[in-house]
Amino acid sequence: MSKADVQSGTVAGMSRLGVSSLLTLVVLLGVSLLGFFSRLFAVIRFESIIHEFDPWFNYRATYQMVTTNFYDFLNWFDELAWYPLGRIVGGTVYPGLMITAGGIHYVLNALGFTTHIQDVCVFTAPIFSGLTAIATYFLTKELWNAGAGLFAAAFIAIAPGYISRSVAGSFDNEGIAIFALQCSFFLWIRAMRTGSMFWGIMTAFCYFYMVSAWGGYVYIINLIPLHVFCLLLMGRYESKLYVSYTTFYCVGQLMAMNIPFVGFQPIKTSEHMASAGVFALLQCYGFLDYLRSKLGEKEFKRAFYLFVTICAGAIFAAVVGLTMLGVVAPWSGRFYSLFDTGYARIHIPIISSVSEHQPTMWTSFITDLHFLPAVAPAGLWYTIRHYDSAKIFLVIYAAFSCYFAGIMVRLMLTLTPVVCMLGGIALNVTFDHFFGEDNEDSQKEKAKKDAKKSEDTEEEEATPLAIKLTVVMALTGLLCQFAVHCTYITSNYYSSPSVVLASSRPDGSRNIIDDYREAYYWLRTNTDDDATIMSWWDYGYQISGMANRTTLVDNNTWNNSHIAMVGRAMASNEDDAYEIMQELGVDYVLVIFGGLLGYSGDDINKFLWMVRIAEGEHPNHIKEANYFSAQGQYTVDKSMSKTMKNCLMYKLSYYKFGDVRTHAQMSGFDRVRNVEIGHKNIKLKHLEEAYTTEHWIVRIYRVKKPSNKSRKLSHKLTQRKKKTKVARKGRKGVLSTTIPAAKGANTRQKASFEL
Amino acid sequence: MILHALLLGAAFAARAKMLVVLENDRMKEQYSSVLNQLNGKFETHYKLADDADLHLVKYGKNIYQNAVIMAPSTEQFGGDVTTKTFVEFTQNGGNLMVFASSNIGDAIRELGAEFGIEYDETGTKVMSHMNYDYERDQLQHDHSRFSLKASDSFLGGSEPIVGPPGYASLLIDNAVAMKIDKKNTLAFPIVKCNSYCYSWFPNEPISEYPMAVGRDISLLAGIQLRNNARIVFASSLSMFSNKLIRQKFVTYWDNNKNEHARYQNSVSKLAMHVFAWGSNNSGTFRISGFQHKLLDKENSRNDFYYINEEIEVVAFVEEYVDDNWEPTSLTFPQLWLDFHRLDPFIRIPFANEGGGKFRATFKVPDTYGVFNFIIWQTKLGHTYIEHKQQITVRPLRHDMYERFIASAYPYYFSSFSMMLGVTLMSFAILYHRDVSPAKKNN
Repeated sequence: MSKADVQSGTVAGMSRLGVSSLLTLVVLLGVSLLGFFSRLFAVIRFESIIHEFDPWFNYRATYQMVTTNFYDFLNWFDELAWYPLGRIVGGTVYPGLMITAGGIHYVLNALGFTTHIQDVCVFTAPIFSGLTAIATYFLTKELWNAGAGLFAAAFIAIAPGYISRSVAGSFDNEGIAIFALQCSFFLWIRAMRTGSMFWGIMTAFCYFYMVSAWGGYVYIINLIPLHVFCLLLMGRYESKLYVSYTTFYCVGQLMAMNIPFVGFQPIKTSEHMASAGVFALLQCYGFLDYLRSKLGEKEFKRAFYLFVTICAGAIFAAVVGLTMLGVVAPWSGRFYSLFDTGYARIHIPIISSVSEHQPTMWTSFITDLHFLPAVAPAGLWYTIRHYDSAKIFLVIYAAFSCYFAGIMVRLMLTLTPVVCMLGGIALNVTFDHFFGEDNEDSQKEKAKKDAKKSEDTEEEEATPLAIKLTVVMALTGLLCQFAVHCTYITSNYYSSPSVVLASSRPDGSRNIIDDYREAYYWLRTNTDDDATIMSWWDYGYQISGMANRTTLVDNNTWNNSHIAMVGRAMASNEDDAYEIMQELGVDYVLVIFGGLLGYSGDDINKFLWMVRIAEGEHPNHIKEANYFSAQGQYTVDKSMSKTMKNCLMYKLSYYKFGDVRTHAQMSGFDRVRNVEIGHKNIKLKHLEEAYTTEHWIVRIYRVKKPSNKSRKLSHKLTQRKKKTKVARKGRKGVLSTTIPAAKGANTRQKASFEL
Repeated sequence: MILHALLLGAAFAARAKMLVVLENDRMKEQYSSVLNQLNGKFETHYKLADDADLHLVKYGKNIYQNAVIMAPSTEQFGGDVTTKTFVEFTQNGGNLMVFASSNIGDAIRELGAEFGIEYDETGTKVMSHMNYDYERDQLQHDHSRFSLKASDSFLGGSEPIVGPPGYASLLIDNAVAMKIDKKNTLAFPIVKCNSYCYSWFPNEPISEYPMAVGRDISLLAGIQLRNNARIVFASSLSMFSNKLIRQKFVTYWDNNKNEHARYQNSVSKLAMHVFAWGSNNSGTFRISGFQHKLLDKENSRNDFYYINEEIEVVAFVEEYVDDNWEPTSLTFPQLWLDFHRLDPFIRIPFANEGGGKFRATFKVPDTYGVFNFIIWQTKLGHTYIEHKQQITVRPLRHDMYERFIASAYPYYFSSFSMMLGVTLMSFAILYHRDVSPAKKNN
């Protein structure tokens, strides 16, 4: 890191020298390798394992693809998921990730490096983060200069905001999508600068890769049209813009429609209508501009803007009208929730139930980006001051990323690259100011005449050496701090596989808690092949990936009513839940319980979301208010409500927990909620405990079959029992009609009843 | 027919073990006509109810397939036998026949309660003032031996339980009233009293409303547990004794004609059929084979189906006759098939093709998912016929759709004409030079 910044400062100075490009190459390579290696903490600390939830599905899908062929993968119908509905994987997945990993695997094996697909999957994200650094360099270089590019590349390589999604083992769409994002933006800037169809089509290809890799491609297809629209508003229309956007839009959308999951969305949904509208507007603008060039300037000038406004209005009205008529699908809830933050909470609880969909806390800006948010505004200011058609893009990019990153934690990811770029620009400008040597100043001026203005040089000349040195040293210190911070955050916060947990013992050694895999392995080896496991959807991918068993719901939350059904079963009392489970064909129920260990991400803490989601679909059966105590608190101690006490989730979580002493004074002390549980003597009627892992994190229950027996008499006998006897083995029986006598029929009296 | 089979049929086959629990050894003679028939059919073991060596289940396994408890007055069984033992015995698939009487003991009462059957108090009897046995009543005046006309009383159940129709009347004796708990969905009455009957202590004034009167009183009840174990509860033991079973006719006072009249006693027939049913020798079926495949002759895939494919399902049903599983006859009632995914998407009857083979063909619905073939038939007197098999219905492969469809021809035409147009246009633009101004200049 420190190597990168020192050198990038001098790069601007050593222009026109082969050394400069060699140095750039070396720095870029170094940065890429650094990016790769700093993501390997998880592998070194734990093992080469797929992390978290979604990556498990991606891995499973990739495995399916490399063990069969691409067409079988495209037509793969996954019967283990969403029982009994099933899932067409090929049509509901962004296949770019699987194809990328599968491709790497194929090439490696073709070259004779025999690797398992799991290792390829584990290392895909780190490899691509190296490429992202390079793409970021080119984008920044295109927008500012090579020095800023090197800064930006170095930043993005180790910025925790991006590492959080791309550590080794985090085999997720985002890992490769950020590369595609940066690359498409770079190609777009190149295309609109040069006005070449070639670069336009290259942009489209990169966009296609992005579409195939991540649903966030919508970001590109809205940001680029917005850029074009802004340029039109600013009167910066030129034929280069027309050529590049038109080729990009047509070719890009045609290719996007070839991804089965995307299908006809580019012409049918509101998310894509901005790009279509800008496309149409550009045609009108181009046509009118052509007319203007043919007609006289003056007589047409006034009418021109009027026409353009009318065209824009007409296009807008057409899009709105088509949406009203139902031809164009309105914004999906997920998209809508980005603009109305309260929307998801009310209408789609399933979206807001995900922790990564929560609004971002301010601290995470510091955690994820360290000092970059502080210097990025400076970079933005420089960009705006020296704006041109291309730099406006950076401004728009920055503005929107900031907004989205504020809405959702998850979208910190899109903010990170732009903040790195702006930070790079800011540092580059500053270092140019204070680090540039006197004799090189004039050369620098020539090299970057577009970026520099006369007042800058005046100030620069006036700066004494002492101040220069102070500033440079302070900034270098800050950069070193940045490197330390990034490494620290990466190693401590973002490198946990979350499938395997670790805690430190009092003596400082690490204690590996492997309950998840223990439970999944138990399921894999001890249950029927077609056993159906009911759990909350978070664990669906892991169960199918690790236990290879059928799940009802999983992390691909496409069917809200099915999830609500599971939520309802978890929130109902045991009898009602049993009925639902019978209907759904459930064999086992799996719950996550952290009370023994103090693991806070357990099902009791997620339970209110289950209730809310269930209430959304079954408002007559489930009421959120019933799960709160009389004081209106969500609690599991003695004051909890009756509904809470009887619900399946409570029973399954705390079954037999009352017998465990986790506290000096009392038994059944929940170490997550820090209370003594209110109901200790839990009896299960329709379920039985099948397996509980070492630290009780995963508890599995078997659903019993309906009783063979007919029902016991529901009321008391007419005749009261005379005596209660305890059964003893080998004792003699008693007959009311005989006097107790020695064995043998001869001595027995005749039965008293008549024949 | 069943009677015949039961008595003579499988004398040489490996016979099922049956435990007969008696109150005393004299009962062997008193009930010999019934017991001898059982001896012929089963490998019978006789034990006394208070025998300290009485066992039904050992090490979690049933020792006998059937148990007949002919000890109504038992207060407590000997050995390790308690109500729980009977529950375990039936849970393991054992069949049980329990006989009560007006001197019913606690053990039998608790056993009944465990399975949802309630008895009246000890000492009470079911009495009828209409068709009581005239001869006996002169000796012992309690109206507890009476005849039930088959047409008046509920001779419930289907043919597997009570055999073909043709019952005249039943001679009931010394019965304790038996009521089936309304919430007990598995139990059903086989013989009910007619509306003249009531239950009270004989020769005592009735001080309160009896526990059961008229048609509430069941005299014979059957239960088939979900594992197909069968239980028969009878409220009178002595009606099956040699003395009464051999009494071919019942004399009673006919009020209408004002004279003595006689009915034929059909208890013997009833006993044989009920014993056959209760020991799973009648109305016992199973699905011995289940196959499904594509109707398409060339392609015999059966591990999954695509939507809208025609498939054929074949089920083989066998009946337990004479200690052997034999294919069912053509008289087997209709068998139904469900194709089920949360809801039944298809529900069709099988065609009985004889030889126990049932065949159905249908078109897989236009919905993909994980389906189940379900056969689930409950018919009174029959074993539950149950079969479930999971199958995946997949959506069409990407290359299974029609390649060219007629309605798309305008689109094909437009795209090709567009390509042609662009080619011509670019040709025109590239190679056309605007010569006219030059000419003008010239």
